[in-house]
Amino acid sequence: MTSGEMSIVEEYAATPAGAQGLAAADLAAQVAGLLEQALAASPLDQKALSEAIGVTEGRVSQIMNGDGNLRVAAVARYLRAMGYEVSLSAKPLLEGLPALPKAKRKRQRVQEKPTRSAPKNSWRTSQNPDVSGVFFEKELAHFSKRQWPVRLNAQSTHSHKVVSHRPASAKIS
Amino acid sequence: MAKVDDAEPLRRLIAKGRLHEVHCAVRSDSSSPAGEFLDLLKDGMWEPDPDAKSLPSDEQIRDHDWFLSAIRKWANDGEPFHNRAVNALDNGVWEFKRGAKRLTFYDTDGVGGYVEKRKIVDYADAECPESDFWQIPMFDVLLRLGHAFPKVGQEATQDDLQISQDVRDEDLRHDEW
Repeated sequence: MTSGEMSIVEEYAATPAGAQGLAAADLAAQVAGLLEQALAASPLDQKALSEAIGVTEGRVSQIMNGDGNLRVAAVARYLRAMGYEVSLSAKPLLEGLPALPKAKRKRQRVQEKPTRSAPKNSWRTSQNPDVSGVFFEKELAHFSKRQWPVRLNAQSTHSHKVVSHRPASAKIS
Repeated sequence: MAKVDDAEPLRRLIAKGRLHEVHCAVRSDSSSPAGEFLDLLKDGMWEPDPDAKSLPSDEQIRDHDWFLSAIRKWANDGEPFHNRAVNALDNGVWEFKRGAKRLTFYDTDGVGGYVEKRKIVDYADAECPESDFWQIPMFDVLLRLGHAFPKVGQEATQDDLQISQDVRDEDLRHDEW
């Protein structure tokens, strides 16, 4: 009987490189499984999916076999084309770490506009009280942490440097 | 018929999970093709790889992790992460598949015997009807990793299928009472 014997997988998983390598392989395999299930549930077949995404059917086949190295953005594209969106969560393996994402209260819609005056030197001036879509570096860093939507290519009437938050590879719809 | 040593073979334990213990098979000459395959992949040095442009291959190192992950998954759940990760070959020998790499496996009762586990075709015959992988039967607790080979055509070659059977026969003969 081998119950007390340490397996190769256990030995490997006990090393940092092994644990990371197995985690990467596990996730890649889970993604392949998810895509397989999504394709089975979707009205699309492999050919229609390849046309929807704009890649060859061979590439889709490779991905569905779990053989291709898939970028995170491509996972989202494949699943979206099949009618799904991706959500991510992370399970803590070390004691004391929280599960992610952390449970949090969602923001509520603002019922009334605040009446207090804007702070001195604010970009939100009385002449232009609602320059939605224009953020400056400090504000951008603040708001982006909270998942505020950022409008792109906004025009500013201010002399401050306008920061574009457009991802390099993103398309604007 | 190949001679089998009397001494009990040292089979490397690859994974032990909730359902299965997975060892490398040992041939009559005491070689262990699956163990050698995994060792070479770990170093990126598996020469038969048709996908490797040069060695050592980083892709092989990732494939090594994939195989261990797939084996661990099967040891725990008795099924793969996804359908295309495994195939049923002939006579109850199955294979893990990753790109052009194949690693066969089979189950045994531990005393030299086995019942061929075939892919289930009719859902009414499913042993795990609630599973997404209902076509996969229940395997015995003990699994053995057998032959590793590159698959370059549409199907595995007759040579590789035959070697897969030979490895099982030689391995199980070690266990006969």
